[in-house]
Amino acid sequence: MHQPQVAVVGAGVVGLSTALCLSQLGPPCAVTVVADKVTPHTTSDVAAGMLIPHTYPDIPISKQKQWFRETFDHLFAIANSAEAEDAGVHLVSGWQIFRSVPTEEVPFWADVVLGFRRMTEAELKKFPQHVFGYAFTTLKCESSTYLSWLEKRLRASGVPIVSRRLGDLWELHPAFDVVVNCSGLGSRQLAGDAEVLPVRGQVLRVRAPWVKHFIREGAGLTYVYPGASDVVLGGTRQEGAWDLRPDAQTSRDIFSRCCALEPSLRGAAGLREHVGLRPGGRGVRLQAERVRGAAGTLRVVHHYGHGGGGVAVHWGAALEAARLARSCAPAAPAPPAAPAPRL
Amino acid sequence: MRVVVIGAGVIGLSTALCIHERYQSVLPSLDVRVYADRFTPLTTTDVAAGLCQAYLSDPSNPQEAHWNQQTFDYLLSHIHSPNAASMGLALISGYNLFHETIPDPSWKDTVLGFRRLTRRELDMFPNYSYGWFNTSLIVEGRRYLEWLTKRLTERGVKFFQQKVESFEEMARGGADVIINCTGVWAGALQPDPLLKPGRGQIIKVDAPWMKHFIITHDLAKGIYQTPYIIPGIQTVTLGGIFQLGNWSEANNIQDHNTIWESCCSLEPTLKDAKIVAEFTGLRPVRPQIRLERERLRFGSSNTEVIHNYGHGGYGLTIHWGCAMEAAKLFGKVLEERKLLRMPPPHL
Repeated sequence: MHQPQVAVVGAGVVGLSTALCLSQLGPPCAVTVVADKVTPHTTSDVAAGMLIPHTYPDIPISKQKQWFRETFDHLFAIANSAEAEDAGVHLVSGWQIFRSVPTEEVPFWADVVLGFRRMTEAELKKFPQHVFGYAFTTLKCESSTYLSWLEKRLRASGVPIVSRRLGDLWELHPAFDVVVNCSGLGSRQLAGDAEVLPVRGQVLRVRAPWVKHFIREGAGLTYVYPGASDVVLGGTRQEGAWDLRPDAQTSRDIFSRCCALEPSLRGAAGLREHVGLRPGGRGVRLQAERVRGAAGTLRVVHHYGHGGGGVAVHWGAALEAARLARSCAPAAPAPPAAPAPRL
Repeated sequence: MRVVVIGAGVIGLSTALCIHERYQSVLPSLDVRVYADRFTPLTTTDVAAGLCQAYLSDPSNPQEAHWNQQTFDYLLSHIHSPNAASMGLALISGYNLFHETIPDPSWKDTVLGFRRLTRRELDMFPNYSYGWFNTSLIVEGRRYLEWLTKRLTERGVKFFQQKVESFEEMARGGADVIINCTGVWAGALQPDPLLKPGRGQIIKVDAPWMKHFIITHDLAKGIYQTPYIIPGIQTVTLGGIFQLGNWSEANNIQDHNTIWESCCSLEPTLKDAKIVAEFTGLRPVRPQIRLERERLRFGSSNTEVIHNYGHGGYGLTIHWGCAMEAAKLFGKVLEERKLLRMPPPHL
C-alpha cells in the first residue's frame, strides 16, 4: 500500500510541529521536511516564545481560542514532565499592564492561561505609570531549545529534514503527493502571496537571572520575558521592514523602555541583539489548494501567516493543518514498483 | 559610645546598619564594631534559601507579625532600585501546597496578589488538594550580607574576626552597649533553655527554568519537614529538613536522599538538574524571638545588652523589623544616659 509522500516546507515552529503532527496522525504517511533554514537561523529562533496569543482579524475567535488551548494544554503537559528542560518549556508568571483601562473587559484567552485575575493596587505600585493590569501564569516555549527538541523527535520518527532552498513549490512535484507550505515569509514567493509582509522585530537578550516574572505592556510592543538562560527584551513592530541587521538606536530604545518597567535590568549583563521578520501582513492562511499546471496537479495545504502569534497557536493549528493535509492525500495507491522520491 | 555587635549573620549586620543609620548623625561619638567568629559565607544566613515568608500560624508574640510586615515593606521598597540584584533581592511568585483546606494566613495582605490555587494549578501537584499562590520576595543571604558589609564598611564600621567568650570580655574591653546577635550559639554567652538548633540541610541545583517557589506543608509534621523548592538568583534551593536538637553541621546522606527524592517527586523537571552545592545550617529556634534589653554589671560600670536572637527559620523574613526594634531600644539607652543632643530621627 503506497504511503502518501508529504513534504512540509519550512523548519520553523510551524513547519516542524506540522510535520510532527502529520507523522503521528494515522493512517501513516511518509513525511519529509524541506527547508532552507533550520534552528538557530529561523524566524522562530528570535521569538521569545511566550504563550500569549495575538488576535487574527479574519479567523473566528472560537477557532483562535481552540488553537491556543490545544497548544497550551500540550505544552503544559510537557512543562510538568521530565522532558521540560529538553523541550525548553516552563511556566512563568507575570503581569500585563496598561497605561489606561483597556476597552476589552477580559481577553478571550483568560481562562486558558492559569490564575488569570486583575492586579491589585499593591501590585500596580510596582508600575507607577500604569493604572491597570492582569496577573496570570503562562508558558514560555524557548524557541531554539524547542525547535531542536522537535527536530530530535522528528528524526526519531523517521522524518528527514532536508536542506534545500526552493524557488517554487512545483519543484516538489511529482515526488510528493501533498505539499504543506509552512514557509512563513517565504510564501510571498512560494505561494505568490503579496499580502505577506515582514513585521520586523528586534529584541535584546540579556543575563538577568533575578528577573522571575514577565512584564508585557499594553498591546505588547514593550516586554520583558525571562527564560531559562536569558531575558528577552522587546521590541519593535516595523511593517514592511526587511533589514535583518540589528539597529543600535533601536536597541537603546528597547533597553530604555524595558528599564522603565523593570529598573533592575540596568544591572543586566551580556547584551545580544537579534532581528526576526514576522510573517505578517495578513492573518493565518490554513487552506488546501489544488494548483493545476502543465506538469499536473499540485496538492498544497498552506499553513503560514502567523505573524507574531506563531508559537502561541502552533500546536492547535498544526493539528488542523495535518488533518487537512492527510485528507488531501490521494486515495488511490500508486503502482507498487514506484521509486522512492528523490529531490 | 562604643557599640559592639556580636554576630555577623543577617541579624547582626542589619542591626548594626540600622543603629548606625539612625544615630550616627546625632551622636558623633558613635563607634560601632562587629565581632564574630563566622562571617559570610559561613554564617547560618548563608544557608537560608531567603524566601520572605512567615510561618503559617500567628506568632506567639504579636509584635513579630508587625516586624515581618515592616521587613517585607522595606525590602519591597528597594526592589526597583538598580541595586536590587546586588542586594540579593528579587520578586518571586509561587505555590504553597496543603493536603487539606486551611484558613488564609495572617500575612495574606502583606505579600502581593495572594489567592487560592485553581483546580488546574492543583493538577500539577497530584499529592496536594489545596493551596495558595502569591508573589513574595527572595533576599539571598550571601549577597545581602555582602551588601550589608559594604554599607557598614563605607560608614566606618569595623569588623573583628574573633570568637567572643563572654559579655564581660567585651564590657571590660570598652563596650558601652552590646548587641547580642549570636543566633543558635547565644547559649554560650548566657544559658537559654528556650533556644535550640533546628538543623536544616539544603541542596543547591542549577535549574534556571524554575521561576516559582513551591513549598509543601504537612500540618501534622510541622514547618520545613516536607519538601520545598525555592529558586534563588543563580541556583535553586531544595530543602525539607528540620531536626530539633540536632547540633551536627555536617551534611547527612540520608537527609540528602530525603530532599532529593521528595523534591524530584514534587517537581519532575528537576531530575536533570545539576547539583552545585550542599549545606547544613542550624536555625536558632525559640518559642519567640528574644529581643529585649538587659543591664549587666561588670565591676563598677553598667553594660547594656540588647538581645536579638532566636529567629528560627524566619530570620531573613523578619530581620529589618527586629533591627528597627533593637535600634529603638538602643535609642532608649541613649536617652537614659542623656547622650542625645536632639530627638532621634523618626523612621
